[in-house]
Amino acid sequence: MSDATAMTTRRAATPAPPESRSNSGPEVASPAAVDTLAAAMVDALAVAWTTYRVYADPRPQDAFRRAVATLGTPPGFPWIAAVHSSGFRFDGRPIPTRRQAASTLTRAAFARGIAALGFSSPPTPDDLLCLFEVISQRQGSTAEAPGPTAALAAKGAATVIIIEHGRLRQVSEERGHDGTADAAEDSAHPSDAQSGDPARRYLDEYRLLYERLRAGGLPGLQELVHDFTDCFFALPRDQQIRLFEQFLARHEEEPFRLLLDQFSQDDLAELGRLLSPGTHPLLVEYARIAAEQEGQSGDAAHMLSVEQLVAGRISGLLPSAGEAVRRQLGDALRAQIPGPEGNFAAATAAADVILSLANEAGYIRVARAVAAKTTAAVAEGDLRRAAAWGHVLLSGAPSRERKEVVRREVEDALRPEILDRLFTATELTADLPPTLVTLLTLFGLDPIIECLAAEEDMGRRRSLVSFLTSAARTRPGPLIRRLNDPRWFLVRNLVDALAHSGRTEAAAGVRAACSHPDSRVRREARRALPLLDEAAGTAAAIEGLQDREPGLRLQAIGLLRTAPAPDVERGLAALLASRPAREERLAAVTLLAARRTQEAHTLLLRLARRRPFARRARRDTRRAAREALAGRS
Amino acid sequence: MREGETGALLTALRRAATLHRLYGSHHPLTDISLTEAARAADVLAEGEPAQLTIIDGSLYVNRALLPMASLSHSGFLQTILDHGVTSVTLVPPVRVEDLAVLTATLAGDSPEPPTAGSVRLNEDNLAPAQRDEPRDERRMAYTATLDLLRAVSLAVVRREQVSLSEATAAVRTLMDLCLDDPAAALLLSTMKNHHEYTFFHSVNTCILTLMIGQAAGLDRDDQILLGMGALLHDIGKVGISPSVLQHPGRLTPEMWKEIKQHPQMGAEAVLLASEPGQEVVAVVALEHHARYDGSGYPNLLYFEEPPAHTGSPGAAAHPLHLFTRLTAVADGYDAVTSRRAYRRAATPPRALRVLLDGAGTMYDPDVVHAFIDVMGEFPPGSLLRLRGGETVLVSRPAGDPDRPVPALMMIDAAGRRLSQPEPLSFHPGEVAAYLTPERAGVTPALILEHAGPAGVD
Ligand SMILES: [Fe+2]
Ligand SMILES: [Fe+2]
Repeated sequence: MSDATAMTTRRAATPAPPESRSNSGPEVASPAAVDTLAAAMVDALAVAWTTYRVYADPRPQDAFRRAVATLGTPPGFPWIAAVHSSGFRFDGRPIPTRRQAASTLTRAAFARGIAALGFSSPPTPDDLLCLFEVISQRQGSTAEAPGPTAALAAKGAATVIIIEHGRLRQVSEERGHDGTADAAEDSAHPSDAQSGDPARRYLDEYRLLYERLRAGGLPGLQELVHDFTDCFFALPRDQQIRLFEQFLARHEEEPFRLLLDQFSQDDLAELGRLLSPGTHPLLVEYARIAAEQEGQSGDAAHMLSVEQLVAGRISGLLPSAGEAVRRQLGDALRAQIPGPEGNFAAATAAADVILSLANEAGYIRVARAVAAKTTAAVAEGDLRRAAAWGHVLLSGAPSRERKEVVRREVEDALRPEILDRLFTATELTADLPPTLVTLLTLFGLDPIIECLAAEEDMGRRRSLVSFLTSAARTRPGPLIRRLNDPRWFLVRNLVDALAHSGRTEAAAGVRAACSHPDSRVRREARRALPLLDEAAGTAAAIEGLQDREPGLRLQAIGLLRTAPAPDVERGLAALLASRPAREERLAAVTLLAARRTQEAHTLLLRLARRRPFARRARRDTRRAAREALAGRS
Repeated sequence: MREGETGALLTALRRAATLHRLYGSHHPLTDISLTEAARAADVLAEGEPAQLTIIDGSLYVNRALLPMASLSHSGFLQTILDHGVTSVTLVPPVRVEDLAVLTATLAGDSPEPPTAGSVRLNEDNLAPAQRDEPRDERRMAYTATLDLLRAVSLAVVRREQVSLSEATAAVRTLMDLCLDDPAAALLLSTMKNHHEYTFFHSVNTCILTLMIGQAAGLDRDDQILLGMGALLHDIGKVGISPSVLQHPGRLTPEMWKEIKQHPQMGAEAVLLASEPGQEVVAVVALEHHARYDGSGYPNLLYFEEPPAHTGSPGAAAHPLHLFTRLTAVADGYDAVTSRRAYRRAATPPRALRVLLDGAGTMYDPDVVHAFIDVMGEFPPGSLLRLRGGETVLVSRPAGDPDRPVPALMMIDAAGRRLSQPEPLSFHPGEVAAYLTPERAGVTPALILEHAGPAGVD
């Protein structure tokens, strides 16, 4: 996009007309000399500008005075340079300068709407100061603020010339562009300028408008380029060729490349035919670069001339036409029709890609849609498709954040009727595809647990629990978290499911459930706990010997049958001391008999000891203890 | 042909209004366009005063609705209405100065609309009962589909729930049109409107894709899915900023980055809207810029590991869905033959050459061949200059490269425009040059209105 570089490159190919815009008499300076002089002027402007910006009053400064002196010695007066946002131009060419300040000066002037600036005679220090003041003045936000020309006039700076963009148009219409230095073609054809040659007007207007748009961030650029393209084709052919040659010579400059790019391959081929032999290589070069940038080979069809295209008939390039070939082609394509299954596979593969490319918000939207498609397939009873959509959700959630999104969306999508379909139609539950099991396990446990809580039918509860049991093997967390749910029946089912999970991290929760207010939960928890943690299970069972429910005390005795801990005897002693029911007493004695520990033996001896006035209950116990001791010896 | 002259008039006026805004009045470039407009206005008026009226967004000349001009100049007609102009009366001979006042009004530069002279604004408008509206089914189908796309795009932008059921119905209608009158369908697919490029392009791509689909022997269900994919392939462009879409040159890397989002954005919108069984439509949107050779965008991982969606055993497996490969060719053809932000339109035969150049890299070679077979060497709607000097419009494919191509003469050897085009078949050897509609000053689809519902030729 660098105009400066492009210009420099171009100059090697097509030398620009050398004439300067200064009225330096009949003698014409060489291009190199003009460049050097212009560069000296720009350097001086830049130095003066820097001084102006550094000192409150630059006039006494040496640098400023030297700059003013240099500005008084151009090749001739009036001396005017065009202001582009990228720098000064003289004779349509950028003026090389080493001074950074030159570009800040042109930018500021450009922003102020100044198209060109210069001097009608050697500038005074005061006038130069006025110029800088006008340039550095912020663009007034009110419409009444005077324009740069008016401001300058008000200050009485007579030696300074500025041309505003609007003014430039007027001037160019009135005087055939004599007012501006920025028209290389002007100087090449001074007589054409007077007659209003459309091709040259075209170039001037286009460049001017382009620069103005560029300063404003280029809104309306398309309109500009299209209108100029259309106008190009409204011009007479000879003018078109002249312009086309100009475009080609400057194809490295953005504004001209925009125009050239507008030309279709047909346009290029047609105009290319009319180019002079000297310019034709430029077209070839342009086309090669354009094709390369579009990823095409340089010698493709778009460079074929009309004649070549007309002569090289398409039909000749095809293998052959005719009914047989047509049929063959049709057969080949028909064989590739994927059918519903193939379409579906393609869609899920595409959904994978869409998810992987989506941004955060898009990911949420797509995950929601795919989750809905998964459940819709379930509702249809098509578990295979449900599994395929489920796979998309699983594979598209690589990060923690995305997993969280999928979890939310799956939870939302698993409405009761869907779960109903999954877990109550037993044939579905039986062959849930592994992908769906994984999906539900990873992302759907909470709604399933909720469903279990609401389910009244025993059979359905059983199938839900059996799913949760297998799910808990990989992911017990959601079940454990719900163990403090207020609904006792849910806790009981969760304990049941966790019992067979083999996950020790579930033990603490189940241990806590052993003290649940509801005996049905306690029973289930004490049954489950030894499966998860043997020691904890024993401890809970020993506690259970003290349960206020007789049935649970009996359960505890049963659970303790093989427990090795010495605490068991102590617990049994306490139980027997608490006047339990006959059934419990006998069960306790049986358990003591089964335990081959010293403590058990001592306890049995104590129970077997004869006691007068013992109640009937005691007698039963004694008898049982004696029998147990007899059986031992 | 009123449509043609009106189109020329509107084009010239639009350009003149823009130039007026850029340069002010009395600029030579503005004058060129105004002179062109005056010429078109005189031909249109044919010696009698003619009134152009805009009613409900449609353009009428005297009592006759000009559907094609209404369609292809909808943007400019809106601009005209925006400036308070509802009718323009042309009293021949139309003077350039009077037209300049009109363009000044359209450029927002003239407070007093003229009521005298050769161009008068807002004289009494036609009452609805006076209108004479030809109702051509084919054009109605086209217009209805455009409306649908506008509605769908709006919903996508607003992130509202989108339903594809209307798209299904629209595709079904276009499909029947392609089946009943293929030549008319192909002519209809040459409708262009730069102002609404994406919508027109989408309908055209849909028609052209359906034509290949029919040739390939797809059944109705598959054709509907294929047509929906083609119709919605660029729907993701609603999310691309206009400054990028309208950039009149090669794109910067940042612009490319944005443009490259449209396949996945479109695919997302379609996937979200799809009912079970319609999801494959999203595949076309996602894949349509992936090239046959695996390059292009977005990066489809499954080029390494193709999804199992190839057809019957024995068919060559290709990772891109067949629907995508069919759509891509039609998409490319319409894009090359349309004016884009960055390029003028190319002629149809040139576009076929571009496709052929891309066969095997950009496009599936079999599909390219099938497409050329459908379109013929000179696709319907092609404008050609014959060696004898006549300008002809191809009206239907020749069917065989050695048979004469059925066409209509639009401009005779002496350069006269025919008010009633005459059948004139030609042999390919007689072709001297290809012309774009703009260059020839002919809008190919207009011939449909001209020929009436009975069909072309
Ligand atoms: Fe696209
Ligand atoms: Fe497209």
